[in-house]
Amino acid sequence: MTSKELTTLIAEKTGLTKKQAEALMAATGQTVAEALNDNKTVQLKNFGILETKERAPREVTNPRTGEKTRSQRKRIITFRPNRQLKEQMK
Amino acid sequence: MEQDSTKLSWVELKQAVAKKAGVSEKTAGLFLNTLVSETTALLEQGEQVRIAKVGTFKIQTVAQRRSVNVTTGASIVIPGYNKIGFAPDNGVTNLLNDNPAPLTQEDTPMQKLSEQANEILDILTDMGQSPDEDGKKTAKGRQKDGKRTAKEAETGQGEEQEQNQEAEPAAEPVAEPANEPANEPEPRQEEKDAPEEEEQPAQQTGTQQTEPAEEQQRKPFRPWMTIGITMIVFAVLLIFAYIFLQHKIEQWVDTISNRTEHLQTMETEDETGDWSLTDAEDFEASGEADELQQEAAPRVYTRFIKTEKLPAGSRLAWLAYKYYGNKDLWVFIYEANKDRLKSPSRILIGTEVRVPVLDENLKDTANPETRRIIRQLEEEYLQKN
Repeated sequence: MTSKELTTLIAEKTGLTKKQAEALMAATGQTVAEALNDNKTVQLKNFGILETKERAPREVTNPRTGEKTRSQRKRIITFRPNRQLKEQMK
Repeated sequence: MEQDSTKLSWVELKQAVAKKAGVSEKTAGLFLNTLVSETTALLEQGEQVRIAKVGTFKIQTVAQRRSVNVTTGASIVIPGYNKIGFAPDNGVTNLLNDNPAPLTQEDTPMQKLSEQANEILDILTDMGQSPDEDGKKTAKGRQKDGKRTAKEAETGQGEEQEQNQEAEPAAEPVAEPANEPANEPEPRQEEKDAPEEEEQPAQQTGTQQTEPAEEQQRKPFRPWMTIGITMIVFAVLLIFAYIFLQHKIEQWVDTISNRTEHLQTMETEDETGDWSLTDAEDFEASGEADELQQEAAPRVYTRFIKTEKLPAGSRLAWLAYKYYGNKDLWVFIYEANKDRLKSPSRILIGTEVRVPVLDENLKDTANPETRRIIRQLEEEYLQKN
């Protein structure tokens, strides 16, 4: 399901206008992204946790030239579902 | 309420979303709760759910697999299960990795930018260029940034509107002052989130204003550097070449003059017929036992102490020491054996060398005249080779 479809669905369920729901959806995405960018852990109630982890630079090989370089330090986003959700999905 | 800098709690998220969307916290709470419940429901149905700007949630099935009980060694089956997979959107990943966000709280991008601007200014002044144009620009830019953040701290909504206007940055400075007075009366509510949000606009304006400065600085900067470096390299090369060639030329001149001298002496000696010591045996045969001549360069050796067959590793100096008690007198041995020895330093093993009987005067190395002869001969023989 795309984000748009989800927004429409939520709007129907809550009785919010579509515009409001869209604005809220955009706000949610932005807030979460910004928080993650600040290395914050985002807690989603009844759902789980979104957090960033750091990946250290490693040696990578350019497949075309065979040249070996060091990759950049990288931050990745991980999701940890909470216990309740985990059980529910099993 | 206390704000934890390491996490964004549910309540904080609710507040932030409410503020951004311009709705009440209650509505935002309702929305977020529904979002979570709907997502969970959809996931349970086996659908994947995408939340814009965050990522995609999806159920992943882990199949059952065989394994071994470590303690008993018995084969067991680990049952399969479902888990929730999450793939972040490209936008967030890029945001996290493209502009290096503060890893530590002290190192905010704002500070970095102002530091960079300062460094650029320093470089400009160091270069001795007129920093007026570039410098003022960056300085202005910094001042602007500084002012803006100050204002933003005061009035929370100023920056909120700024964010809405992000798409059209040209309109920013004009629109800002107009908005300020209207918003000033209600600063307290938004103050909490101000530090979080002020980074983005600040970053954007900062980069916009420092980049042209850098470009301007580079254009006149490059040719100067290249010219300077090439000049230095040329100078060094010239000095080296001069030193090297000077040495070479001197050597050349020396060898040429030596050769001509040598030739001249050869000619004169041929004329006079004195240069016959090479055939010392002839002298013996003819019975002409001339006395050793001190002053004339070529001496004629007629009597010999011994004829030595040279073993490996022997040197003329060693022979001289053995028979005369002085290493320096090797020159006379060489002189007497010129016909057999091509060079004093390269003697073939097994060469028969005749050690001549030397005049007492020649043996006397304290005699300045003898020393002069020895030195002269040494120079001649050693240079030849």
